[in-house]
Amino acid sequence: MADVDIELTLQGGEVGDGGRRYEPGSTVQGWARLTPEGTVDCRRVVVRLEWHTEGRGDSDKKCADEVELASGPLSGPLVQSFTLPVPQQPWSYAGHYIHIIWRVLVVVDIPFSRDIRTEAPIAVAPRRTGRLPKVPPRVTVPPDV
Amino acid sequence: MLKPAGLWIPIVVGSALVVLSVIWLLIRPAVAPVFLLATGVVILVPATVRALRGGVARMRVAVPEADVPDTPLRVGEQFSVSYRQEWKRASEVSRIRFELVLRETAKYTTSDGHGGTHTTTKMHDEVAQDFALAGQRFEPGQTINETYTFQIPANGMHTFTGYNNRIEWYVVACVEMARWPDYRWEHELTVLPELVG
Repeated sequence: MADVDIELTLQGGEVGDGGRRYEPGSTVQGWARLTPEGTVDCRRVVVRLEWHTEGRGDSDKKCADEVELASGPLSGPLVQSFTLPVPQQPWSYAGHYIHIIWRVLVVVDIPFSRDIRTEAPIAVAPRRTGRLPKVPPRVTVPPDV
Repeated sequence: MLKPAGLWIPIVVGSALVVLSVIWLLIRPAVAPVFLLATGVVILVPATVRALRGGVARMRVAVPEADVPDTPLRVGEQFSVSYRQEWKRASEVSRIRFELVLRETAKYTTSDGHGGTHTTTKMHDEVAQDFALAGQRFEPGQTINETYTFQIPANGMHTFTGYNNRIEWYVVACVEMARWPDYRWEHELTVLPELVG
């Protein structure tokens, strides 16, 4: 069975408690190092930026962008950098029934066999620092009749 | 929590199933039409009860006039809602709530084990902000005229519409009447994936 060691490194964005965060409209940069065991017969190697939903409902998903890193059989180590544009939406989200998860994925497309893949989760959300606007308080007022 | 317009779908589907199964039973009694009839009743009855409750509530109060944002909002943006409503009949109102609600709607399909599928929709409302008017007795012709300022939370989410999952914002008014069904009014807001400021 074909085997490829994949190292995926992301750059840019902002590293915080929740992982690496990218601004909507920015770019994800990084590089992938692929080390095949011998010659691996693959169609192509791609890196994808995609989101999917998790939670109660059936999953929705979309590939935001894809870049081809190599095509044809892999016969030696490959180091390839990439840049992927981050769309404006959807933002990462963690709710009651719905979670929106973003990830960067390196996929080695093997014909007639299971693809070899490595992924790195990211967050896509705008920076929300500084003083947040104050939400008006709850009030109970008599009816204006 | 179906919208009034959304109640017609289960009423029509349930009625069709009931009628078809009754015809089938009259022509050729069997177990299958009985199951079909039971399914039709299960779909039809709750939707009919909900539609009737809404109709009963509308006998007490007129359809409200509301001034709401007609352009998309941004995350963190403030907006005002003006709400006017007249009473048709004397009513003891226990409370009137005005809420800014984030609604998650998730749809999933399961197999029934006989080659068919069953689709279920789950909803969850998260109240981001609310105001309440104290209860009182309203006489016919009396009106309320309220204006409130809401704000999409600055750490909130924009409107999201997937095939199986939706995240939506609503302004909701709920008139709670003693011994009568609640009157409920909803207006959907579109929130863009942009931060205010």
